[in-house]
Amino acid sequence: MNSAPDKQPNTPNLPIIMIITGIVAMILGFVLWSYLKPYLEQGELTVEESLPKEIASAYIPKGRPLAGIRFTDHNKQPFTEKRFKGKWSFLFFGFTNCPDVCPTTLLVMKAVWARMPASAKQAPEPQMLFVSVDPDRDTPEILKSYTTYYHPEFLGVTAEHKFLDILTTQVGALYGYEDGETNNDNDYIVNHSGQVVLIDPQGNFRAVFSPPLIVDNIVKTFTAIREYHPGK
Amino acid sequence: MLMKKFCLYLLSIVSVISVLSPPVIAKEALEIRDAWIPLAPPVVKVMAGYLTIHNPTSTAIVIDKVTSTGFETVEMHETIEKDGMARMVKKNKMTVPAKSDVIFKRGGLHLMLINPKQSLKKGEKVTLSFSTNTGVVSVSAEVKEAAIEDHSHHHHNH
Repeated sequence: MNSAPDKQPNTPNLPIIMIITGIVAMILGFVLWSYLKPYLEQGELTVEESLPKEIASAYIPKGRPLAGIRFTDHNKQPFTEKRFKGKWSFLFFGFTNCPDVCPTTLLVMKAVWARMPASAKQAPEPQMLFVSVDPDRDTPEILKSYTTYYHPEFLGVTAEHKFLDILTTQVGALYGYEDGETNNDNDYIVNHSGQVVLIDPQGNFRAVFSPPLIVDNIVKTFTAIREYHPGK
Repeated sequence: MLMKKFCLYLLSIVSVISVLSPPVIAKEALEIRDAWIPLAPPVVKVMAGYLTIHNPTSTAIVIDKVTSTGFETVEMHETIEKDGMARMVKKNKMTVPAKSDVIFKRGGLHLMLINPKQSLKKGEKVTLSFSTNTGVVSVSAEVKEAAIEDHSHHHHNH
């Protein structure tokens, strides 16, 4: 400061005015930035408001990257999160000793595959994964025989419980066991979620199809998601 | 005179009995139809059975056991959704109300056919026998190719 404003009332002190303006602008800018920061970080200002109706019930705007995936596929090859990259993946849960729900789900997914338009199936093709919630009984050999029966391109995957839980908790799937009627250790029932989960080509948990699983609904929603999703 | 009265009494008693007896003498059993088994991967130890049970009588009939020529054990189960998971609830007995149908189909009631004696191929048939309080009813169930028609997911009964 090289002069006191009140001693020279007729001459506006430009440097002071500029400094004050600058300080006020900085304060205003800081206030505005603090308010907007959370919205900018979540991308909500640009993405969420414009979710198309067709995908809104299934699509998760802020997808969740999957990690710690240590499964074995039915060809006994390792299956980690690397194998989610570069293609869409449908995950559905079940076990081979299941008479009603699991065969029905696999038939639904078989029909989904058959009715998927070429545009949604274009290279790379989506992968259809049957995740066993019964690793003690579902060996890779049994899983292969079971899964490929429904469609030769479907892939069964299995993991011991601690790794299975890492996947199920990340995608919100549930499973549990109940004893059967006999004293046989191998006689038990597995309860499990019926939803179908969609993983995007970046390896994020991206959508959920909840029961009842309707073939045309899944096909239409997936086709729309594939159109909408950035970095297809 | 006494003889005449006696004969009249006898006649009336017999008439009353014969009017009341048809429900007991006639064969009042469950009618079971459209029994089928979806073709499944040869590796499985458990298959499903679906069918329609009709009770034409005016009294409820209870099924307490099911057996099959093609399987070691047969159980009746119902698929339900509870706490976000699909579960199977075992039914030790199945009551079929008077003049009603009970339908076993995908996503609902089903037979759990355990340990096939041999892996079943399309077109093969097994016998299913239902033990009830009015006798045993046996039907033939055919193994058929299964496919999804979306309309089957709209359960109108439950």
